[in-house]
Amino acid sequence: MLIMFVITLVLPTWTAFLAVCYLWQDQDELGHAAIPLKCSFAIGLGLGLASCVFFICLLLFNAEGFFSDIVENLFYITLIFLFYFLSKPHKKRRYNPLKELIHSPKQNRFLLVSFITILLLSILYFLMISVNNPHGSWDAWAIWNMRARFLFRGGDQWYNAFSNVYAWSHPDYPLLIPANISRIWNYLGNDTVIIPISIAFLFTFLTIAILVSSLSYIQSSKHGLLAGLVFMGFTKFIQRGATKCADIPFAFYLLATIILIYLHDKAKKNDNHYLYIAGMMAGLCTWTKNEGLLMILSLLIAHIFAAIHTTGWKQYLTELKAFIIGLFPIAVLLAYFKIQLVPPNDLVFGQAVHTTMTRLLDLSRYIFVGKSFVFEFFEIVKGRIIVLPALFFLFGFSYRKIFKRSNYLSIMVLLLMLSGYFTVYIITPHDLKWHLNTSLERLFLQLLPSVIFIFFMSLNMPEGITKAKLNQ
Amino acid sequence: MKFDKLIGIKIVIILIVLISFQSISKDCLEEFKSIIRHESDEITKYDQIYGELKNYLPECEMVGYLSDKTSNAKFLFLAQYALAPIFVVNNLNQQFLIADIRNPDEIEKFTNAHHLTIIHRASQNIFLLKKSL
Repeated sequence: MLIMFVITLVLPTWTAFLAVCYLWQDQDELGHAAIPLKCSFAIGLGLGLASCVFFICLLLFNAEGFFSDIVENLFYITLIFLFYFLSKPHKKRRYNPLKELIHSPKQNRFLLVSFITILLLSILYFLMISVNNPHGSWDAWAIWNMRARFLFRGGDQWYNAFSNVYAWSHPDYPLLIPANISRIWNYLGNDTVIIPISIAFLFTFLTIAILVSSLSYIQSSKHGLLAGLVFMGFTKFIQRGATKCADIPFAFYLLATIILIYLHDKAKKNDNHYLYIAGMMAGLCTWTKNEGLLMILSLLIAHIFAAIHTTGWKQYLTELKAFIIGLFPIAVLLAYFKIQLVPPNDLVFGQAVHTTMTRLLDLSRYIFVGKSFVFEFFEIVKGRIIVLPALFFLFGFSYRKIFKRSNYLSIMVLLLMLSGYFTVYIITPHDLKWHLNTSLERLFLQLLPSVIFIFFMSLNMPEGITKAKLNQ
Repeated sequence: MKFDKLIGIKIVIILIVLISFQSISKDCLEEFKSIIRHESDEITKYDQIYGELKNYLPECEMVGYLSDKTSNAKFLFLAQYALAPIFVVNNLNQQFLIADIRNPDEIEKFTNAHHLTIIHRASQNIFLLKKSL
C-alpha cells in the first residue's frame, strides 16, 4: 500500500519539481544547496496539482475511472517532457552533505543531532496519535474525509459531496485535501484510513522541511536548524497535523508563499519567476481552506503598501502580473467550484445588515475576542516567551536591506490576516464562545510557521564570533 | 563580571533544545500511556457499526435517523460519515430508518407505534428499521 501511495504521487511531484527547477532563478553554483528546498516546494505543489487535475477530470468525465486516470497521467507526462526540454543545463558540481557535516563546526553538529533527535520524536508522536485516533479530529472526519468518501464512493453522483442536505459539514469548503485522498483511494480501490494519515504526515513534516531548508538556504544552516528546533517544540502543530486538520496544509502553502517573496527579493531584480510559483502557492491556499481568500486579499493590500514605500509602481505592476499568472488557473477552478457547485458559506449566508451592524457595534464582543486572542497566544507560546526575546538580545537584529521589503510585506500580510480573523469572530452568526473554542487555536497554528520564519530571517547569527571562539 | 556573549548564546541554544525535547517527550509519553490503556477510538467503533448497515440498504439516496441520546447530533454525523454517499437525515419520513436508542427494550414499542420492522440489529442500541407496507 505504501508503494502504491508513492507511485500515485510520483508523476505530479516530478512534474512540480521540474516546474520549480525551470522557474528557479538562482541558477548558479549554489543551485544544489537549494535541492531540499526545491523538493519541499515540489511535493507541496505536486499535491496541489494532483488535487486540481483530479477535480478537473471529475468534471470532464463525470466519474473516476480508467479513462480519466489515463488522461490525468498523460497530462503529467506531457508536462514532464515540456519542462525537461525547456530546462536550461546546470553547472554540475559535486555536493557531499556528509562531508560538509563532518567538517562543520561542533556547534552545527550539536544542532543537527538535536534536530534529528527531536524530529524522530515528533514523527513518533505523530504516529502514536494516528494509532489512537486514525480518523482524526472532528473536522477531519466530519468535513475532509467525509467529502473524500462522497467523491470516492459516489461514482457518477460524486457531486452529492456538495449537497446542502448535510450543510453542517460545510460543503462549500475547497477540495485540496478531499480530492487528494479520493484520488489515491481511486488508485488503490479502497478507502483505507492510511491515506488521510499519509497526506497529513506529508504536510506536517513538509512544513518543517520547508522552514529549515529555506532558512538554511537564505541565511545559514544554524538559522535553519535552530528554527526547526524552536518550531518542533510547538507540539500543538504536530498534534493538529496528526489529527488531520486542513489548517496544517494551509500553513504550509502560506509559508511557501512568504518564502518565495523573500527569494524574489534575494534574486535578480528583473526576474519574477519566483512570483509565478508564489502565485501558485497562494492559489493552493485558497484551494485548501476558505481563509486562503483572506490571505490573497491581505497579500494584495500589503503589496500595494510595500510598493508605495519601497519599489515604486512600475515594479509593482510587473510583480503583480507574474503573481496573477501563477494564481490564475487555480483561481478560475475555485471560482467555478464556488459559483457552480457549492452552496454559500455559512458565515457569509448568516449575515444580514441589521444583525451584522449589531454585532459590529457590540463592544463586549471585541473585548471577549481580544481576551481570547491574548489567552490563546500565551497558551501556544508558553515557555518560549523568555527564550525567543533572549535570542534577539544575544544574536541581534539582522537588518539586511535586500529583505526590507519582504519583511515589511510578510509582517503586514500576517497582521492583516489576524485582523481578518478578528473581524470574522466579531460578525460570526454562530455562538461566539463556541466558535472561538473550536477554531482559534487552529487559526494561530496556520500563521505559526510563517511567524517563526520571519523571526529567524530577522535574527543575526554571529558566525564570526562562534567560529573564532570554537577554534580556541 | 563581563557577560560573555558566546556563553549566553550556547545557554540559549541548549535551553531551546531542552524546551523542545521536554515538550515533545512529555506529549509522546501521554500518547504512549493512551495506547497502553487501549482507549477505544469512538470514530472507528461507530464507523464499523454504522458501516455494517450499508450491506442491508439498497441503492437508496436517503435514510432517516432517530436517537434519544443527549449528543445525538454527533451520532447522526457519525452515521453520515459511515454511510456516505447515502444521506442520513434527521427525520422519520424515509423508507429506511436508523434508530440509536438508550434503552433497547423499548424498540418494539417504537416499531409498533410507527409501523416499522427491524431489518438488522447492528449493536445493542443501534437498529436498522424499515417502514412496513
